[in-house]
Amino acid sequence: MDYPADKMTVWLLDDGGTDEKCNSPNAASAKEAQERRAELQALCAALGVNYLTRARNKSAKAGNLNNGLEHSTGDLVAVFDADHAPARDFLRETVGFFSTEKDLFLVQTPHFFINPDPVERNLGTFTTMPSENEMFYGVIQRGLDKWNASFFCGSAAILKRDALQETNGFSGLSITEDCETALELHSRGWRSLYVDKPLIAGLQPESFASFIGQRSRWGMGMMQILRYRFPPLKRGLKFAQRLCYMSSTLFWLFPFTRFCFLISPLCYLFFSMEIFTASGGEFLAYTSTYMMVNLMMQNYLYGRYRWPWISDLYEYIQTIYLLPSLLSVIANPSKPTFKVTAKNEDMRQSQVSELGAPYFIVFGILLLGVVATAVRVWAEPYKADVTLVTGAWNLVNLIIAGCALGVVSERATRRQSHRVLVDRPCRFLMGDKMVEGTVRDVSVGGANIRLSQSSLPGMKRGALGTLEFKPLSELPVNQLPLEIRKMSMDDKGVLIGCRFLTETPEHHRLIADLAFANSDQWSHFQTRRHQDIGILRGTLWFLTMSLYQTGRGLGYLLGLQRFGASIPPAPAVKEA
Amino acid sequence: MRALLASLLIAFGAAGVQPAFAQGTPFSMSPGRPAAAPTAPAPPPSGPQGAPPTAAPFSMQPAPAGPARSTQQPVAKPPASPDMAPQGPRATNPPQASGAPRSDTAQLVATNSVMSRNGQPLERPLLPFESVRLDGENDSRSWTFHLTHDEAASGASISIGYQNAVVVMPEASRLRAVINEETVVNIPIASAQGIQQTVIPIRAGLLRGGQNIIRLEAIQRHRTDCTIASTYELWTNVDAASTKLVFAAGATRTLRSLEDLPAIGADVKGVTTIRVVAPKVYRPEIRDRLLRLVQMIALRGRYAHPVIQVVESDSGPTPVGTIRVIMGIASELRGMVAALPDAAAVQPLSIMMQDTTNSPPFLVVTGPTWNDLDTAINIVGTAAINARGVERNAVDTASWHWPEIPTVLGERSIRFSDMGVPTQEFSGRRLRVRFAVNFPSDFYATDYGEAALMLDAAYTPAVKPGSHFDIYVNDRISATMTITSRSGVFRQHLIRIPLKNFKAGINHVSLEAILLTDADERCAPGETLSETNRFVLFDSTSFDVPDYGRMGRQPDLAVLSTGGFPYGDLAATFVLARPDPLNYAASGTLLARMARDSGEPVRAQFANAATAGDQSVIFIGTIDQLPPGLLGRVKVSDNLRMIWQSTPAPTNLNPGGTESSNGLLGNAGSGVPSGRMTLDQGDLNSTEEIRKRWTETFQRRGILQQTFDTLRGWMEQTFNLSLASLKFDDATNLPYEPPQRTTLLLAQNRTSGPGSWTVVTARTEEALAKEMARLTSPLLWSQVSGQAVALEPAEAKLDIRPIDDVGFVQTQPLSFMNLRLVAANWMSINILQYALVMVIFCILLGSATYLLLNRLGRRS
Repeated sequence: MDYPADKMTVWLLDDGGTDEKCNSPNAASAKEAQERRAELQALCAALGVNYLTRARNKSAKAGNLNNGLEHSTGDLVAVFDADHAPARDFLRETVGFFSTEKDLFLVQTPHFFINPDPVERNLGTFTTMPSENEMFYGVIQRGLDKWNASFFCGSAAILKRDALQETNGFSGLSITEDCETALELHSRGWRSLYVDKPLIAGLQPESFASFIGQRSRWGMGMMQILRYRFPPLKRGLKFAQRLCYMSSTLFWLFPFTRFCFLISPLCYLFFSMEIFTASGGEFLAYTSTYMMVNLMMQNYLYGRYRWPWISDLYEYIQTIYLLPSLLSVIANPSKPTFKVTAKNEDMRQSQVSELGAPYFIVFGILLLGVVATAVRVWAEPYKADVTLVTGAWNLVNLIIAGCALGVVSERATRRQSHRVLVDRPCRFLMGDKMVEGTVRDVSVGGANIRLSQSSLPGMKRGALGTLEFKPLSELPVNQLPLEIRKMSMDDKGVLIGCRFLTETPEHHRLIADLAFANSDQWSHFQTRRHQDIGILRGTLWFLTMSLYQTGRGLGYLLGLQRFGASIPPAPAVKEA
Repeated sequence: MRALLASLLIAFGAAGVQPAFAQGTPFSMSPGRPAAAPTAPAPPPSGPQGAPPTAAPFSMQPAPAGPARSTQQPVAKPPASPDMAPQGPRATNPPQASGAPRSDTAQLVATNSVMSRNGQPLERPLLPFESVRLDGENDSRSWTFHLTHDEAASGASISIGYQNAVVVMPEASRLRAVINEETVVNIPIASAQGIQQTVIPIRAGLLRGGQNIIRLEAIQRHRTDCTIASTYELWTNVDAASTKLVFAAGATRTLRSLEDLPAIGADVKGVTTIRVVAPKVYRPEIRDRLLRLVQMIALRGRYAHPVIQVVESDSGPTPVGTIRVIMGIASELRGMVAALPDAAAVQPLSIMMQDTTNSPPFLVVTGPTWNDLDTAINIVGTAAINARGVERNAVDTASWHWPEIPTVLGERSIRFSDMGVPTQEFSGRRLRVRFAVNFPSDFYATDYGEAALMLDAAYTPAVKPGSHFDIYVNDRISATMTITSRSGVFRQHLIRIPLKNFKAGINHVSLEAILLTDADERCAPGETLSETNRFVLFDSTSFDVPDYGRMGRQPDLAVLSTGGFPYGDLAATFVLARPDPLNYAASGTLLARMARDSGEPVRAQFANAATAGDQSVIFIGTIDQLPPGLLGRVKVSDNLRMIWQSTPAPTNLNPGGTESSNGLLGNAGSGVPSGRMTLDQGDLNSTEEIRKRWTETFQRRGILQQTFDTLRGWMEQTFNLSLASLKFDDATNLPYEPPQRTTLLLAQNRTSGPGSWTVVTARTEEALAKEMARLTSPLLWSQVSGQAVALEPAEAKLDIRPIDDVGFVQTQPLSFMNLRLVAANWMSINILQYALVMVIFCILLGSATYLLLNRLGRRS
């Protein structure tokens, strides 16, 4: 981290090794916790980091953070999730604002992810289409920031201790205390800032189930905030801030609207319930005009951040499980009963997600709706205009549901750690020979290096070597031992795939420097994806993707993926 | 042929002359039913005349011989039977002694050849139009007629003559006449061969003095066919000549006072002729008063179709449906009226009088001086003058449409029960109910507004989904609603009717329920006999009109027919090209019609020439009499002068007076008022038509062009969007060329000031008077709109030139809501301007937002 070392202390808050867990009655988990505690304590000692744990796992993450607040002394507190690796210039980019802005309590930075979320992975859009979170971090938070309403997202942010003391740390009634704390501080007159530069690299949930679980928690938490804090009427907030918080919380009511959108055509097609008293022509005229204008507005406002129809897809995917969650939160705000937990995180096999069954059922129902359309048009020709328009509506739903089938059909990923493409000059040392080369990509566990020289005696699988490069920060050591796992040739030279043999903490620093230190590579990757596909092309692309994914999903349902090709490598974060 | 008949009748009359024409009573209805033969007192819309009408009325009455006076003699029966020759009566009995007509034999045909001592019964035509046609499976007409107290007190029978289509099944079809809510006639419809006349006595006490309401209903069923299309083949024509009230022998007709003016009634063609006799009519003093007086009389008498005749000296007795009016200064009238009361020399006088010589009663309006004459004229029209300026909420159409047509002046909800549509159960397949609404002259909502029909109806499970309701406005389809469930009840069910086909003035709306049933599809024999009710329409159904934009427009001929003329504060100036009787007749007819439409006399002054200070001017004259340049001022092509002078007047091609040339009642689908787009079938010589025909035949268009044209046509039809409406500049300013066969032309254009110039012109003066009488028939007159109207000679059709260059006239006090509605309508018409306004507003909004956001919030 590029910051005066004497002004910075790093704390590792470990909730996996609390006393409660170490003394757990379950012998296996107790042992696991104790080992973890020991290992981490050693690592921390080696790296010069303070290790902190607590007695009991109270209040999950908030309690953990509060514990950290109690034990630390700094004026400013930077919070990172365990899987979020900050770049070198994180503090340099954010700390300065605390002296220029008055009453600042938060500087928030975007969450950038080096791996695709389950939707992107299963659809294969990670390298071409902007991520879903970019809409929030790239557009919405910027907008909220204009009105001084950007809120704390749980990680990748700096907060002011004085402010946190006013609220007794991170406290609240909801399961998303980060937003709740920010809301409270805003209402006390504190200000927040958002820096629109990706300065951390994190990991998305691996499986679809964990993805849904995460969203479900966010949704329930926001509902609890709405219920307990009710931002529109909260004292102390400015009018614009009320609107902003209202927007942030009410957004999570989308499952209701999406549900109605799904059900309405079926009400007519199956049960002849006419919800709209309009002729087919009127209905078509109003809705098609509205949709066209809507698509055009969306394209104009954020066409580069969100492609057409993707919002509908994400909404639909989340609705299936978020609707029961929301209902349970509304019914019982303090203790919602509906929880989504991911049981199987094994991603080595391509299979339908454990949460995938409802999607196939809904797809089947919508398909029946199409059949009902045909039957109705044949049997009641005098109502044909209404039936056809409703059938078209149902067809739109069907296309989205078909695409969702592909989303829940999980592709296997081979790699446990995710690659980041870098292009750093380096030197490969084996024995006493040295070869110039370039590190092409690197992950936490290994790297791919291209060597300029074609051959080197002794270079074969299993050989040991050393990687030497110039680190970006001041590090005592700049050599990293590695083991060659794979060799191949292409027209540019020799490619070797290596596994790092990390022994000392210095090696960890080197790896971090290699992979995560440069924040520009994140920006470049995002900018590369910021392409506006346009309404027409976007719609056609979505349509073709949906058809393909429907087929793929049905294939997974029937178990045909076992006859498919070999598992492709996970997509990687590329440099520009 | 007719001349021969006429001479025969005269011979008969001369032969058996005496008590036949006992003009004993001072107030008797004059005989002389005008035959279908060439009489010209009131040229009816169908006009079976061949020769141009002459000014002098021609009556069939033989020379009044031997007036054997006896006060209580029954009046003469005019020679009537051979009149029915063109219609082919079922049986022409030889002339028989007429005796008392109190018989309910099936056919009663009377002549006057052998006159009994009792004389002939008094008769009175009933129909307000020349022919009333009842078509479809159920149809009805309702109107009122006036009787004097004496007529009501004496007994009467009703005679109905009708003919029907061959396909009407007599067992299931009935023709009913309901007078004052009591069914008087209820006969099966069984006269396909010719006109069948039935006389049925009316019970004593049913008829009353003053207004009596009569309703003709027909329930018809097809003999064999159960399809919807077959219901269009059902018709019954009620014949005007044989449908009448026949009073008892001994009944006398007494018109005692001005209150009895409505009891004049109409003749067989539905026309009420007001024949004004005035000395030296060329004088301006007489002209002004004469034209005022005819309006007063028309208003007082509430006639359906008043037609004016002006003569310098009385020329013979008056037939039925005619009232003679003698007007002038007392000193000048001495020669014309034999027994002028002495009071006339002292005070203003408006009384009904009768000559000593057994002539029919007439109205005398006189006074010693001109001022007194004015007062006398005002006496005739007191009620109308007193009600001046009041915004009425109904138009007085009682004599041809009952109940009176409501005027919608703003937000209003009118129930069917108030419009004469009763609750009815129906067992057929096509139910049609009709009603009419009147919009004022500043109705400006055709492109924006939506009226609603809140339907209260119910139908049995026999009615299949797929049945539908159609709503026609002025014979154009406006709304439709499909039934989509079995056996339902509509409770105030909303059907939206766009105001597109409505116009200022009287609008005829019809609601049709097309019922599809399995029984009809099977169509077992006798299916149409079925009396099982399938559908019921409740009279709590209402027609709701919301607030609509009200803005007067100029030029707009509809203002003439809706009583809004003239706009502005000054009275309109009527310029009569020549001060001769025919011109007066034409102007009087026009004024009487306008007065009847508005319910009050027209704000008019009369002149021989227009002056600079006049705001609104109407020119009435033949094409030769118009000052030069006037045609150009009303945007009519000057070639018209040439064309009309060089081509002869079109002769009437339909001497028989067929159905299609009758009034527009009853022709479902035909008789549609023709806009500019309708091809004039007779006018094949028009350049435009020829050009169109040739280009369409020979133009080769590629597939792309054809598809484009189809798409364009579809857009025009569905959304009323066309490339023409996207033009900025107004439509062509070409002068109007009426079709070649036009006989009468009305054209209007606005002036730079608040007024307008209107021209009424025809080829000759006789044509002017005669065609004006045709034009002012109530059903045809209500279609007058646009900026120029040309009347067809043969049929009752108008060629209307729509308004292209509009000037707005404020008629309502300034109010935001009204302006909003007017603006909405205007922008619906001028979509290009609307789009531009939208774009400008969006730009403004965008810049305002941009500037605002630049100042607020955190600067980014």
